[in-house]
Amino acid sequence: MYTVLVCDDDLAILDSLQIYLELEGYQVLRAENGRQAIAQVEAHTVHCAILDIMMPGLDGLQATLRLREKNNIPIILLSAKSEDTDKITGLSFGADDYVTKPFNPLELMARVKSQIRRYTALGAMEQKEGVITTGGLSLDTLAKTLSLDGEPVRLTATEYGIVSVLMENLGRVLSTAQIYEAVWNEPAYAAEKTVTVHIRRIREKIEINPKDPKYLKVVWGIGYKMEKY
Amino acid sequence: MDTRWKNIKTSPWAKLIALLLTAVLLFCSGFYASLFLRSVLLYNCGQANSFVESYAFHDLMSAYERAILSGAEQASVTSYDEWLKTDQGSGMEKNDKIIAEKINAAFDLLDGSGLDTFVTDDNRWRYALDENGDGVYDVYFNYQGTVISKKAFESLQYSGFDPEEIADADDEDATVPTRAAVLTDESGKAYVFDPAKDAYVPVDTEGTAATTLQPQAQETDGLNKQTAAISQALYYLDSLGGDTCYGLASRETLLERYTMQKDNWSKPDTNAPGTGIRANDASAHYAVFVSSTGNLVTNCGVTKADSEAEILAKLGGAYAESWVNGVYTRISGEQAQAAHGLLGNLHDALYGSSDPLELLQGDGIYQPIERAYFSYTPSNAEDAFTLAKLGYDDFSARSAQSPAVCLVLACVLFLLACICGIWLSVVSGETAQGVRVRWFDKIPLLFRAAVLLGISACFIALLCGICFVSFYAGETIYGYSFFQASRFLAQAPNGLTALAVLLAGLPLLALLCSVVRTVRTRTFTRYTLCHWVLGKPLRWLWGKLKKLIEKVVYILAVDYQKDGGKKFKILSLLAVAGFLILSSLLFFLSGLERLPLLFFLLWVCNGAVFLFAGLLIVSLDRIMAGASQIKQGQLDAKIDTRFMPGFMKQFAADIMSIRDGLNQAVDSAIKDQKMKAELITNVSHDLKTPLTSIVTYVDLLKKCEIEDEDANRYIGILDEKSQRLKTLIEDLVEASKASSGAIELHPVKLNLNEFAAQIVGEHADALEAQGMELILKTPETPVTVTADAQKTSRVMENLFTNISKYGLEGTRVYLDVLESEQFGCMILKNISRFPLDTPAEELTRRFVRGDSARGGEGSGLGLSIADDLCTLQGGQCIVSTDGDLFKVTVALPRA
Repeated sequence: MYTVLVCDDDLAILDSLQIYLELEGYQVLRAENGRQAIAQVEAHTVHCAILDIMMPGLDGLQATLRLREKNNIPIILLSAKSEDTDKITGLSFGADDYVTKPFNPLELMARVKSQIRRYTALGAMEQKEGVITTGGLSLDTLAKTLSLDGEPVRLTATEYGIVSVLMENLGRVLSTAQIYEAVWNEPAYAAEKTVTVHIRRIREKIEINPKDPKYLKVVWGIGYKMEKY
Repeated sequence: MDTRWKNIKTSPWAKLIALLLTAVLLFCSGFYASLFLRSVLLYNCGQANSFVESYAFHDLMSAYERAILSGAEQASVTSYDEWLKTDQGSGMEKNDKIIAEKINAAFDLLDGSGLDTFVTDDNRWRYALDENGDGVYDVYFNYQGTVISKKAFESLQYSGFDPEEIADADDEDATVPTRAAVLTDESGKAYVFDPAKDAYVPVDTEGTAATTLQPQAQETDGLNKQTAAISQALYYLDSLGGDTCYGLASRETLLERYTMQKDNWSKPDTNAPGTGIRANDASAHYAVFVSSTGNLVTNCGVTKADSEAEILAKLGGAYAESWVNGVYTRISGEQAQAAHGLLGNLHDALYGSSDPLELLQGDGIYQPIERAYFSYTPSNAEDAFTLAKLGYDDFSARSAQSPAVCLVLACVLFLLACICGIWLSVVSGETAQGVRVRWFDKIPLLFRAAVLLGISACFIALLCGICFVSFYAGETIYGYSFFQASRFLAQAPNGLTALAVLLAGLPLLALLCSVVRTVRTRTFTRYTLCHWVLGKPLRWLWGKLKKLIEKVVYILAVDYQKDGGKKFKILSLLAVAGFLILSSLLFFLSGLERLPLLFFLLWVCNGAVFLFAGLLIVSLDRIMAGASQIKQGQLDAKIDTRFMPGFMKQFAADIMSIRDGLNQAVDSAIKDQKMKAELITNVSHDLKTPLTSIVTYVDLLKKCEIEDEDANRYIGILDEKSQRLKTLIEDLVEASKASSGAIELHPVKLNLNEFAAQIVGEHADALEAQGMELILKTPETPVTVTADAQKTSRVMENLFTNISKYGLEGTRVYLDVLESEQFGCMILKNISRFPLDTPAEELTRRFVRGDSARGGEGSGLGLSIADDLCTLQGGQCIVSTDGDLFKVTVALPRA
């Protein structure tokens, strides 16, 4: 059984989070501010931490920094701050994920699950030949399968082609024309729409929140890229 | 940096070091100045580049005059007594006696004649005789003994001889007699008086001059006997040497000079080259033909029969010159001016150095010379030339620096000492507590200056003394000897001179420091004698003057606020009118009366107006520049109000207060903006936190297995409305940020073709699910705009959300990419599900929705946000409706 630390100064939110997590079968540790969170992590084995940012005393960002000094457990920041700059700040402080309030409970649980799976699988995963991995996403080019956090993802042939092109160029931005030419193997002519629609569909399958993608990111006006983790 | 500098300024050690440095620099400067002086004296301002050009050489050659003429070289005598027994020696002795008698007789005559002496402007002596003893001079003499007119006596400035002038003088004053004598003009050409023609005629250069040297009988010129005797005595004395005309030769010096001294007859004196008789130096070769006796005086085997070429060959030598029939020729050697010693003096021996009568009679040993040759050959023999050369080389070595280098060094070092001293004077009063005066500064300036300048003057006088004495040490009875002067100077060590410079400089430095200290503490006037005596009345006067000035300023002050510029206009008019009246009056008067004072006043008046106009222009220029800066948004602009007239200062102050107002406005606007952004963030946080609980607990409620149908329906409504609240809050925050501009933009070059395709990809599926087909049309060439990609995608998302809410099922949606001159555009067209009864321009307002019933789930902010975001990026979002056709144009500035 995995243990999740929840930290929020709003007790109502804290309670609801505990209920959701226990429903999912996790053991829950509670903390009302950053100091308590750090004490909890030091006292127990924690597999994932959910921290609010705006808390009295030690806030979530500072707590993340402190935790990162000794620990590499997944940290999900939970905050009412929804600006892009807030997200970037949070991630650069060492958090693994950033969820804005009001959050969708299902989405949050999916994220917790994903983080724990990756955290616990870490090290056990052996590097197989012909397998390209980024974060929890891994593409087996020999078996022609894609798996997300260890679970297989069902893809059509075209979708697989697009994913494999993007995975082979991890972190690089590919234009729709480039993707089209590589997958369909014919010169691109007004084919952008075809590619972009497929991309959207792939995102539905591999992203927890397709509107806020983690892996397959859109670079507006230029193309798409598979984020490298 | 500043504090370190301050520490240096106040540190007594730094000052001590500066003082020592100044002293050392001053000393060195003095040292080099002394070296320079010595070099200049020795080498005649640096022209003596070699031995033969030096005065040492010149002096040696002079010594040959008497030697050659006395024939010393011909006798193989070794002592004075032996020499006296020779013909030449006995002749010389006899001659000395004759000359001594003549000198005594001449001085006796002059002493007993009542002759008065005068020194004229050209520093030569002239004489006048009061024959009758009535206090009126009857006869005036030239230094040569020539009787001249009173006018000539009073005004004559000796400047060479011009026969025409003398002739003119004769015409003017018939009483001026002329005596037969050979005179040379400035070019050295000789003239002799011809009584038959009653004029001076040039001397025949073929050597016939001697025959025309007929002195005229004195009485026939109308002079009395005494005058003639005096004239002759003066003439005789003058003929003995150049220094008599300067009054330098007394009876004793002349007797000494024209008496052969036993002491001089000895081996060459190594310490004093130029003294003694020199005739057999191995370095010197000569041949002198004496025309009157037909003798040849030579030391190198020249015979009378030798041609000139043979003579020169026998002379040999590195340096040689000849004098033939009055013409000098430099045969070989250095091109120099200094070395006419021998031949110049021989020339004197011919024409100046003896009584012409005796010369003609052959009575005496001074004999006219026909030709003369001299050569100098450097040799190692122990003769005077070699010794002199050794001395010269030694001296050159000791003054290794050229005079120019010494002078430059002295000047540079002096300059450095000045800089050091000035620095010292500037920091001398500095203490940690600011500038302070010392007890010494409180002594009245007059006494301070008197003491310090006095000390300095003493040493300056000493310096002058050294120079003066050194220079005059060069004076010898034979003329000026630089060699002698430099030898004397060598006895005054350079160090002594340098010390004198140092001791002369330090009191001046002390005075400077003291004055600077008092000036810096503004006590310069306080510590003066004047202040002691006149301090109180002056202060009283100054107070009165100040009050007066304040009164005038008050009268002239212009205050627009008070009188709307009435005073300014009146004063300006008065000033212009006053100037016009005054200047025209002055102009008229000065023209009329030609009075220089009025003319001067006119110029003063014009100058004052010019100055005032200049000040006005400068002031106006500064104010204009300041206003222009403020206009360009430079709100920290300042206007320099120095030298501005009062009313211009007021003007500048007004502009400044406008600037301050603007500054405040801008500041408060920025503050407002910041506060607004902060407020939005806080409100959104405070709204979102409780909403989070509502959303999650409603979700949890849904999970509870509740039997009651109604309860489940209520929960469903709660869920729906809480989700709607969530959307509303997010949109509200977004909208307020967009409209207030509290949003950060990151504009990039955006390819609209690719962008539109990506947008279509994001939304095509959702629309198709609602039965709408999305058609994209892009031009062949990519359209590029400058826009923030994230925000633009947000705009498009809002528009597509709109379509999915209000679009009619089963219709087509068009997205066209176009470009105009300024903009790249995306045009989105669809058919509305509801009739569009709201005017198009109102649709972009906040909370306005196409369906007035407000039944849908939208917030009514989507189009408003889209519009604000486009506007922020410098673009536009234009909504138009045509029946059921809904068209939105997103225009963004082209890259």
